[in-house]
Amino acid sequence: MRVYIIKRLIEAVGVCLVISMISFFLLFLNTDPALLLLPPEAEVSDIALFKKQMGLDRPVVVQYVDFLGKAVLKGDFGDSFVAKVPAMRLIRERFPATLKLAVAAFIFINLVAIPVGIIAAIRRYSLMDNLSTFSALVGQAMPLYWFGIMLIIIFGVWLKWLPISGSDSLAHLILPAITLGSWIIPVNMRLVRSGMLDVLTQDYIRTARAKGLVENKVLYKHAFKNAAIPLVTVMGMQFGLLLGGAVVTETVFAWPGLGRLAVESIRMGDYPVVQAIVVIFAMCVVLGNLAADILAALIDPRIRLD
Amino acid sequence: MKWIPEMAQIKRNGKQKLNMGETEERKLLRLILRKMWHLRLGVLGGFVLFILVVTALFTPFLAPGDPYKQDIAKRLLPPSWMEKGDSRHLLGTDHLGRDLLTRIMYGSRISLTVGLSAVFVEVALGVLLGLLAGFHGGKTDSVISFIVNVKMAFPFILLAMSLVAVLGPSLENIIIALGLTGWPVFARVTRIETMKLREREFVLAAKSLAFSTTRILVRHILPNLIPSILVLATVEVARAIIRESLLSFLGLGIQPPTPSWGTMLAEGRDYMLLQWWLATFPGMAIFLAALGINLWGDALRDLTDPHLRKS
Amino acid sequence: MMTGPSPYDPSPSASDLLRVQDLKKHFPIRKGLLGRSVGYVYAVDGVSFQIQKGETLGLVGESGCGKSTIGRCLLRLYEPTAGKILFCGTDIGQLQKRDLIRFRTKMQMIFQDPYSSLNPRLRVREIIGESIRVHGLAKEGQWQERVQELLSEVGLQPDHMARYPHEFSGGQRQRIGVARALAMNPELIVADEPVSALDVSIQAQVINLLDSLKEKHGLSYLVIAHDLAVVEHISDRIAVMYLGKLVEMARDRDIYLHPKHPYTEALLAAVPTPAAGGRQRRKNRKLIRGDVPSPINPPSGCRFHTRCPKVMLDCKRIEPPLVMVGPGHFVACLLYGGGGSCPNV
Repeated sequence: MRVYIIKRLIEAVGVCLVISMISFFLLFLNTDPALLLLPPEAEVSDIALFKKQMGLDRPVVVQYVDFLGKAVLKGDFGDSFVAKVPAMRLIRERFPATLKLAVAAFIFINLVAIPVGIIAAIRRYSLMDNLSTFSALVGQAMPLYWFGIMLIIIFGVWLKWLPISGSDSLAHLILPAITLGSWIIPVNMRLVRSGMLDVLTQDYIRTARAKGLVENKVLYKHAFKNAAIPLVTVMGMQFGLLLGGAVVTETVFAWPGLGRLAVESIRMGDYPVVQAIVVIFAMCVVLGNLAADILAALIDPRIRLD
Repeated sequence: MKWIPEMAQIKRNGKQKLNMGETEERKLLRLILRKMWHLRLGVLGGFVLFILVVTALFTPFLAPGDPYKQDIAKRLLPPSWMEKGDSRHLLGTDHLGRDLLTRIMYGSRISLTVGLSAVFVEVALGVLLGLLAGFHGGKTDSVISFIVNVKMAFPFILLAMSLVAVLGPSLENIIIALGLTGWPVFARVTRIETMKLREREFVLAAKSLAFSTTRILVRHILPNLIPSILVLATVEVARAIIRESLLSFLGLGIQPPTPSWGTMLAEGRDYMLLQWWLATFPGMAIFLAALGINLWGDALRDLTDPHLRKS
Repeated sequence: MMTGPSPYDPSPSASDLLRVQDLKKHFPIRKGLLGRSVGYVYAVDGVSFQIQKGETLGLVGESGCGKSTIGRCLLRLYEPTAGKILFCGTDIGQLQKRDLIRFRTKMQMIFQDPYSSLNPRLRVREIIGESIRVHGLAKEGQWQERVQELLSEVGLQPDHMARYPHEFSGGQRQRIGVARALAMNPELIVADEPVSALDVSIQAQVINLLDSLKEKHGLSYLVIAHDLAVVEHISDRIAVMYLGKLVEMARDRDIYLHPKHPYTEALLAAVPTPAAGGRQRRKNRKLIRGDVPSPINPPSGCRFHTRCPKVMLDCKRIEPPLVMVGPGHFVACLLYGGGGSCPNV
């Protein structure tokens, strides 16, 4: 078990490292910070001097190692070119908003997906079941941003039930959370359903029923726990989807979070910020996977025999 | 045709007449119709796909107008069935007076082109890596699997956005960016299938017949992978279309005035308070296209592998 | 008993087609952080035999005793861990590239499972013809005729060559496999459980086919099977394997009429069809108990001692070597010597 965790940890670190490398080089190729920071009238010699001062004329690898050192040890990703403040500060400012959104979406997803999935499995071919399959199909094809815009139009403009932008109150959170969640609900629902189905047809469930256990107890104690395994694994992977979806959702709803920061920064070539966001996103995704894998291994001893 | 086992039997019996005067051909027809009914959703999806393809191919003949022609006097007209609508602009006009329906139809060309090309790149890259990883195993596998893991940890959006930002937002670059972000799923599937196949005896036989590794991979393993890859590719086209429109929506994809559905959505967003149609219809086009492709892909999968559980 | 039975030490003779010397194949079991091997599966642990030109050797044993592994090592589908394999005097363990290809044409294999040994996506004519085309075994443009030739040789209709494997029955598919092997004009064919997956009535047909081809093409066979009845008809000599080692090797008749090793006796007792002396044999049936031990941790001394009805004290300590007990008849059992102490029968 310990071996398993160590192996996965090393892999996780490796992945983060490679990602930071790739994004560093990508951005290095793309943007020339000297041109961004200096006024347009700057002379070529000024530019060269500036580069020398900032250490931008050193070989790429050296710059990368320097960056890595500062980032890992001090959390210093450099200053944003646009806002002229440390990149980390910007991120810290915007992080809570995204977190709020992600948590809300997460709650929403599981509040809907798990019960519906279970019911769909128990009453196969019922209305619930067909509804869930149908919505899974629809959800897969639905562009997230369009769904958000549609929600805005219907609930915000026509019906005027909910506010559409800004992030002040809880009410503001509803539409974005629903939008973000809608992307992931179909997948989860199907997983819960198929997991439950798998388990429900097993012999040990029939045994439990034959023993005379109350149906609810049967369902919860025996069935759900086993069905939870694939769900837990996927929950970890959802991190990536949530983060990715957050980028879009925040853009649509003008939500002041990391996602919107990412889009704007990329558009403006503000590479310290982009770099920081990419690495943090990657870390979250990797950690999420790791946590899910470990959790799954804890629940299901078979996985440990990796 | 191999997929329906009864077909082989019927083909061989040819035009023999059965009792009650029903020919084998008639039986064949009934069989086909029955199969189509079982897969009616897939047929529906296929129909949508068909419309999409036809629209994309023959747009200049089918579209009512010019996607670039601006007419400020006629800007922001609502769809023709609403008041103030103009029957010549079925779905209304945008903020520059361009006909929405025409632009949506031309948008199908972009979506389809990008979708198919991007998937082509993904398949080429993913299948190649998957074959190598699955067949050779060992170190090659570890390296390639690691690369796949790294790639999957990158949220698509960030990677694609960065790539486009670096390369510049042109059609080719978008295809490249999409292709470079979507290949892992093909690599994974190919790898697993290859690993299963390489233990099969006909592969061992090929080895014992002293065929080169390339020949074994191409003639023996690859053809057996095609059904799974084909199905996956179909669904991926839908995803690629959505992704392309996402990039365009964020401003990092196809640039205006080219009519990509995503760009139109972005433009429409500015007007969504009052002129809701500008955002609704392009998005609906994306949705329907993706839905149709997915339905058809699901049916395709059911056809080629009836042993797959419907989950 | 004389001074001691002479051990199995076959001197190389000119008519040796195949000579296997002390072949070992151990599969590592990998565990742990860096994939270290924590143990081995001792699939084949020191096996030696020869096959003369035109001879058929039957190799029998229970599932998991390593016989299929031997077959695959011979074809170099697995790399042997130790030991030598000499084909016409050349050590094939060392061959590379072009020499390997040339050797591959001389030794071919027929596989066990008729349902996975043919590529389902290729037509029969390509399955058989591919090797002909790749290795240039027929004149330009005449490969299809050659395929038809081969098909009729194995008893199938030549115009079926445009069909796919799934249109044939199990027995017919095995025939296709035979045709594919024949296409290379081999000198030795390793038949790995060629009939295990077929119905009993078909088994005889395929065995007979192999037999008739033997005469016609001057082939030698290594027939691997778990059923003695299968190899009886076609083999000149039979070797019996248990848990990675040979326990008895003799001419066909000697195995059936004068089996020496307890394991061989038990295998014979399990044969349902009456053979010569069957009734007598069945009366003396000594049943073996228990399951086959794991090849990861084989028993000490004589590997059969855990199940042997004639087990003695020394069997746990000493691993008996193969010794000669008659002309061309070798046994590895302490009952027949080789243990250093007198056997008490």
